[in-house]
Amino acid sequence: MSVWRSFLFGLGRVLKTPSLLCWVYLASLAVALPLAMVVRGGIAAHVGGSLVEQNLRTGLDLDWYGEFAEEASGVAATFGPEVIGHMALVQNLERLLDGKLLAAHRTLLAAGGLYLLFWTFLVGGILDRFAHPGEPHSRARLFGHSGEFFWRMFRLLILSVLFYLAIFRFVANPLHEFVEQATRDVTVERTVLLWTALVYLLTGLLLAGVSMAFDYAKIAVVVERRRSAVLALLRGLGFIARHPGHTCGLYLLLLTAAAVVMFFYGAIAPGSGQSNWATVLVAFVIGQAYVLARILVKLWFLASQAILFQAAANHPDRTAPAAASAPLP
Amino acid sequence: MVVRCAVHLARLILWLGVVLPAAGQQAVEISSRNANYTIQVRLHPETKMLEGMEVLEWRNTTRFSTSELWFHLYWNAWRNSRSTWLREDALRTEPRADSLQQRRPEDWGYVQIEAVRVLPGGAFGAAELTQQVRYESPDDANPEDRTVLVVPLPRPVGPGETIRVELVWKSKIPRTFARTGFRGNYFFLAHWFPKLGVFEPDGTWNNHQFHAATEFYADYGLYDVQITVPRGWLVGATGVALGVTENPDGTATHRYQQADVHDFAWTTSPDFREARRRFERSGLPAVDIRLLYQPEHAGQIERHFRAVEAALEHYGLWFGPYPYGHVTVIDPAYESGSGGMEYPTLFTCGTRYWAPFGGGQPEGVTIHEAGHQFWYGLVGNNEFEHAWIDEGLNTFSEERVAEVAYGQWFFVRRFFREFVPVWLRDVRRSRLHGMGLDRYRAAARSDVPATPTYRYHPETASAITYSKTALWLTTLERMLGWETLQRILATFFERYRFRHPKPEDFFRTASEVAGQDLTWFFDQVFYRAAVFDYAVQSVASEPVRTLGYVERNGTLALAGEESAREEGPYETRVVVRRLQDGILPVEVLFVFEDGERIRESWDGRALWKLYTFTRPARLEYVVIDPERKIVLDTHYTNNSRRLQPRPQFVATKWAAKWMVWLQDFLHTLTFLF
Repeated sequence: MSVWRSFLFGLGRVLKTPSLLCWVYLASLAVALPLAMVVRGGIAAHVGGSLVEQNLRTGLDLDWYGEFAEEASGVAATFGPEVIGHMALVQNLERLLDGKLLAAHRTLLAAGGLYLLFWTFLVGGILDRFAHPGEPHSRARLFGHSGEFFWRMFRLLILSVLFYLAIFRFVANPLHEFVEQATRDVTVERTVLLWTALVYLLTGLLLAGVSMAFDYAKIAVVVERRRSAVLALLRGLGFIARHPGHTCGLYLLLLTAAAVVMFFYGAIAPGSGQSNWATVLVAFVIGQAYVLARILVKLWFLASQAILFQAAANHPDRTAPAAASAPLP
Repeated sequence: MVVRCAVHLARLILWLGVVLPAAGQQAVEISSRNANYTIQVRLHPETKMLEGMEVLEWRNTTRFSTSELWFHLYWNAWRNSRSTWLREDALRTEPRADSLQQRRPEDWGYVQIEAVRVLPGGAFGAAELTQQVRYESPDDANPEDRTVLVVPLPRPVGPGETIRVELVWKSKIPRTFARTGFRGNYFFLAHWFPKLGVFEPDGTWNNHQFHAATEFYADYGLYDVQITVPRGWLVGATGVALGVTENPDGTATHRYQQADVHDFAWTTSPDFREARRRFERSGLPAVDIRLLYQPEHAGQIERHFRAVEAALEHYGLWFGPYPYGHVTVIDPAYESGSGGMEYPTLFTCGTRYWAPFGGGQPEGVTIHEAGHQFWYGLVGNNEFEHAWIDEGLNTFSEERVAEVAYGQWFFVRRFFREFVPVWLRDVRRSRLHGMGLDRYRAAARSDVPATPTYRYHPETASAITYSKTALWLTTLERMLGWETLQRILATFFERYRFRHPKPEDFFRTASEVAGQDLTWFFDQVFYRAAVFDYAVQSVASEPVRTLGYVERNGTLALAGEESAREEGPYETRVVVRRLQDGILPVEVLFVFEDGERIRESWDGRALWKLYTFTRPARLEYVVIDPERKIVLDTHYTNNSRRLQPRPQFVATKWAAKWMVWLQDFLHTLTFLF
């Protein structure tokens, strides 16, 4: 199976299973919507009957925001200009690459944790669907497999978070610190920028590598019914080591697809000027379309990599017998 | 016509007085010129050392004699962590970018006096004083602070007498502290020489220790400085370059001279590039602008010039002309820590490799520091004690110039260790935002502005010095009108140019020019740490209805038979409140649904006030201070209230955006798994 075929067939499988998209989207909505209502309440309470409401219709009044930021508490305190348009994407990307995803506001972290649990629960069922497209599918089977694989996936999640933290604890942060010390007498910003960009690139590569290894580990858990998270991870790493060109090439293609989605949304992301319900609705729909697109890409990663894994490891497109441990290729 | 000629003549005299001495000729003295320095200094870039020798010629302009000379040795603030500067700096909760623990031995700085002697001349004979000098800590009695040097004299300097003193010293240049020091082969040298304090008219020395929250104060004089640096390095300095001598040891000596200034700073680096522009505007003296920029900022040369010109033009037209005829603008090296600082006829700005036009950098800082040539350079207030005069007036002026010249800046945030700017063109920063309204709000009670600046808490000093002053000046502008405030500032500038004004001088000038006693205003904003916050507490507007007994046909009868009519009239009751201790008169605007507008004046003294109206229509909304004159009001959102609140739309709109941001965060998290 070529990289291109995996890439394209993966998209095909995602598009043929819109219900998976819906379930993940609903999970995202279930976590985000209640918190958004809290933030809405916080903003409404602060604005109250004030005429500042007129300014907030046409844009973000930074003078008002200064007052709000000082008084806001809880999750409402996370509201700021950074949530607008493309800046939101950049901020979250920065969090990822600076290792600060887990250093967010505690409510956000709790929401993120909940969402990760949802995702961890669903991913087993999702992979089962992608790995066995020819078999009959139902909601019961989706959740049945999700439940079946949950604890294995959960153990993988813990390992994955540990890897993420280790990358920053032992590689990225020390490297940034090294660059800072090594360039303390450099007077040209461009030079320091270049070195810093290289550290970010290396960090990104490591993160991608870990992400890819865990993707194949998840696939191995489902396709090969592996119980041990560590062995599944080793299986994933081994698979990448045996097929570096295919796995990395496919990952690069998928990463490009994700970048295109983000870039496109960044280019068209609505700013702050919606002054009536219709424009607010349009902005919201664009935002949700972007969220859907991101979920689609995430599923696309799994589907394409599952196809590649099954083809390269010569696995049939069916679940191995539960009782027998699948033979390692 | 006569007036115009007189103005041009005055400007010509001013120009002759300042520019010609710089070219080595003595002309009209326009400042006291009682502290004149001749300095020779040599930079040793490898060891980060300076070797210097200065001759100070000081004339006692007071009615009192003095038997001592007090000097600032600013760089001793970084001799060790026990200095007053570093002890105060440690009070900041925001840690320094470079912690002291991370500093290497070569990163500290100091100045060591090697010789002090009186030179023969006038009533004084030669005298060696090196062994007699002592250190003082007049502000906090810190025995480990070495930033004030006292030189006892063999005989007092009487009123009108002049003394010449020679000092020889060596300095270790620090890795930048307080915008002074080195990074790589970039050197910025400010407050680098033993500098005389000010002998005040009351016969005392004003010579504070170096503090974390303060800057400088000195008398005006003539500086003639020879700077020796490696050959091929560009030098930028206060004043005019009189020539370069190439030495056989591979160095070059640059001579700079400037009269009627109260400080001298310089910089050197082999990496500087140079650009020049002549500023010419009708009605203002021409100014030669010399820009020393970093090669990677070549694309921003025009932006720097434009900002300097905007400052020279507007400050010149609003307050008074810039008389020196030249100014040197330094684009500092990356992370040198020397950006955004003013010195006479020279200042540092600061930009980034990626700096989107419209985001305010480097324009904002360039206008600000160019503006300091007026507020600080020309009007030389005591920054140890009244830093608000130059910083506050200048912050106000800077924001006004920026708005006039550029409009409002858009919102920029820098990501990825601040290398990558991301901006939102449709989110604009107001003038108040630029002045630091948020910063002031958080620190409104941190210090009484009348407190000497060196006693401000270092962490919040700038909020009071810069922001609060700029904000109350904006309030004055909105209360008196820009024309009046501009005349106040111009009069203050004219009167105290080349002098050392005190706060009372500004307040007196303001009342005089405004034609009204503004003491009440300054009592509130300057002599107290009062906080201003007026708010609408409650609003009601209902059909007129009377319950109970009313007089009808001469007798008391029960009211209420006739029910209130929905079509009116309506009784409107509004309670406004003063939530804090700050008191300023304020207007309250009531707008009714039929378009009727009622404007009431409230002296703002009582803790609350009830307004009652009976009108044909319901109230639509009420606003306290509708023109937002009291910009020190820390919470303007509560200044207005609609009868029918309608925050749902904006709350939904912004929460929806927040939700997309959160969803993006959630999906970014899934990258972990």
